[in-house]
Amino acid sequence: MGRVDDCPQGRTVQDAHWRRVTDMKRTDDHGACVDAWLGLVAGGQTPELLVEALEAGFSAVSRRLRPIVGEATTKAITNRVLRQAARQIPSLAFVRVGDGGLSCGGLRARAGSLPPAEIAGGVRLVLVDFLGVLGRLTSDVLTPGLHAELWKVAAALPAVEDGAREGIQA
Amino acid sequence: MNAQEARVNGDSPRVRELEAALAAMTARLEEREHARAQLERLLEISQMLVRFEGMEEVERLLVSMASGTPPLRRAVLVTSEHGLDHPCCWRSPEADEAGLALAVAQVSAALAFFSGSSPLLPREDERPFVTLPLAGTRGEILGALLLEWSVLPGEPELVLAGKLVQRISAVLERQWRGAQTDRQEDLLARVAHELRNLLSVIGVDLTLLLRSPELRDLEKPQKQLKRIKRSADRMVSLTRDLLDTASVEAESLPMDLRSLEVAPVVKEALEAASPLAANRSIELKAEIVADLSPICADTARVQQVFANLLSNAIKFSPDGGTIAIRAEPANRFVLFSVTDRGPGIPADDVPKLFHRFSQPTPTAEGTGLGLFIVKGIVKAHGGDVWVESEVGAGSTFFFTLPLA
Repeated sequence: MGRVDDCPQGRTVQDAHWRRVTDMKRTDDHGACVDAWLGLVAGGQTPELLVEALEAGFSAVSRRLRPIVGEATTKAITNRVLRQAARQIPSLAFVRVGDGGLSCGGLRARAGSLPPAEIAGGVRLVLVDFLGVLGRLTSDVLTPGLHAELWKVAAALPAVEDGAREGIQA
Repeated sequence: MNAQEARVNGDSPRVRELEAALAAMTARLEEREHARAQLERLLEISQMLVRFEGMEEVERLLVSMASGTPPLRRAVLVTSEHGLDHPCCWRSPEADEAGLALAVAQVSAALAFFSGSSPLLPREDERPFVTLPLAGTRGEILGALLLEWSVLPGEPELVLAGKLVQRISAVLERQWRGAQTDRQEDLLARVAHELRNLLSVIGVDLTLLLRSPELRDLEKPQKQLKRIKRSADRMVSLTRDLLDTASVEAESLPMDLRSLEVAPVVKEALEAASPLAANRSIELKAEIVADLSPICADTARVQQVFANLLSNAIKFSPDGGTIAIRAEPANRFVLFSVTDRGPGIPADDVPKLFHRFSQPTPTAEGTGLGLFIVKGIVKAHGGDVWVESEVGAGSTFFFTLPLA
């Protein structure tokens, strides 16, 4: 059902991203998108930077979503995804839904004492589930645009190496 | 070409006339068909929304979406309150019947997911459905809405869907909060009723103790018991106010209407208030116009109105002041008034004076329910109540009761 070959109207959303997305078997392959994104923004980074990546990525995605479906709906979806994710990865219970997206202060404070793999798994799970739930709710109408938002934010994250940043912006 | 050939070839003026008439008729039929379809669409939308008040804006949005590009074909609303037994379904005449079951299944699954009763959110791959949760401002899940367009929608359609979701959520939240308030008031009434019964038992036992030969002459226990009795009486009064408030809210104030002479009613009210007034050296004066016709009223309720108005007047009158009660005819009513020379009420406070919990000058003993109950009692009699006040000069409370 997803519009596999469609590019969002704001195609300024990097061709590099679109090459990655259209290479996937389905545009709703959120796992592949988030893995590629995480590899770029937080590969080999400290747990604190992983949490920062989650906050920034989620904030960008929800900033795109909020004007479309409204504040209350965005929060309802976020809450549900977080609650469900925290059942699998308990440290996600320290993440709260804030006005601009996620408030990760609690998780950041504990990041040093948690296994990095758990943090990385949590960040991935939240983003993949959020994009997955939205995809199922909207027949993937928003999927390309939301994936693109993730890539846009990558260019601004300090963890991204200059070479990779240029690749995204190209 | 003869006339018959001309007819066959369609060249005859008569044939052209008939063709024109046929074309006009076809156009009218098409117009009528279009109008019928529009009417059906409107009717179905109205049927979907009839259960919910305040949905006018939602209805307008649905109608505009149904005639948009791509046109909306179907909307299914499931609310947390009504559950899956009562989905509100609307479909345009172009929508197929077969999609309804898929739509209801999808929106139900979404509601179960967002309500937390299911960990799964299945995907409906056959249809371009858009399903969104309806959430209140405090995050409570109020329901879910499914929309189906003729083709896969784009972002502009999702923006409209978002608006629709926000409007429906606002209406559902208002209803939900209203129902919650009703439940709270029902609980309040039950608790107040139980408390009153228990306090009555305490009051009776305290009276017996105060009169018992063993305690009658002991000063300290007498003092303590009297203090307890006063507190118990005050609690009885509070619970009675709470019960009356619940009855006024529900418009089910118990009333025993009878024909009553005005003079004895006023006399009884003055006698009841005189000990309180005497404590502050306040004079109570009554002026009753001669030959007043009897009123149709519940004597206990009328005394309750006077007790409230007089106790307020005494509370706010200066020591040694005067309070005047007046009764006079007013068409098919008797107009009563209670006038004090207290500090008066600021004009800004007057409109909300008869609201629940309204206290322009908060006092330690007041609950802010007295005037609300007064208004409820007077209204239940078919009368009216109002106040005229001037800061620094005093206040006059008026109320009318119907003639018998």
